[in-house]
Amino acid sequence: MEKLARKLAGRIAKTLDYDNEREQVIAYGLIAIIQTFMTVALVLAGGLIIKAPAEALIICFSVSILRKYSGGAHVSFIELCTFTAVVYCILLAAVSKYFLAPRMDTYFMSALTAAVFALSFLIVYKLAPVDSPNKPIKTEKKKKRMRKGSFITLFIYLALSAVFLLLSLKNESCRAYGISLLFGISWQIFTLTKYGSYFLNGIDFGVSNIFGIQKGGEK
Amino acid sequence: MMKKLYTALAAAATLIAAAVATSACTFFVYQPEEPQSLRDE
Repeated sequence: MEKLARKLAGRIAKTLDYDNEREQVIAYGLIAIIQTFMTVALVLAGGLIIKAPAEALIICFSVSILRKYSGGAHVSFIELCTFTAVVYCILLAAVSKYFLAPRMDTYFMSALTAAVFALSFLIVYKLAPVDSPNKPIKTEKKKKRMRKGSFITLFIYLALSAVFLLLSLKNESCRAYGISLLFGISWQIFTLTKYGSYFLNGIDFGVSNIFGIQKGGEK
Repeated sequence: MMKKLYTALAAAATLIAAAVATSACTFFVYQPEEPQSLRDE
């Protein structure tokens, strides 16, 4: 995917006579467009197959929106990122809809929601934003803006969870949506911690060695 | 024709790149190397 975006950016830059920096910016934008489109399309397709598209998309977007502000651990190539997103979203959407939602009562779900949010606010307060070598966050101003954005996103998620919790009294689907949202938040919070970093680095290392892939997806 | 298409694509990609530059991450768990001109330093 990244190779395709860079190739297309190269062709655009050559045709329009752009310099190298402009080509890099176009490639960066194309990577974001292709990755977002592919991930959402695959999560939606997988969600439709297991008949839980809303749950899968709730997990996918709740991770991505919070991640926009809080950052977190990364893998080193785009295909593994898409694969991780699809597997996590589809698997946990199925768990939410078919395993937890029919079994979980409102009291337990309330307690779980409170615990997940308490932990999330604490971890975001202590660790966010977590940057990466490919996109360092150097200025204090940006760090403050990112932390504030993370808190606002968490408050919006808290309000959404409360709505899902109330609606779940009458509708089991809403319980599944609420649980999916909690799974999305939990994953994102996990990737902010050193354990999340070890976990993703482990997957990255294992897959890279098995398939002989270097940083950036080159074989 | 191709030049017009590439111009539109370049404009859209630049717009998205600028939008992504204000965030901490592109999407899910991958972050390509950010171009120097988009870095907040």
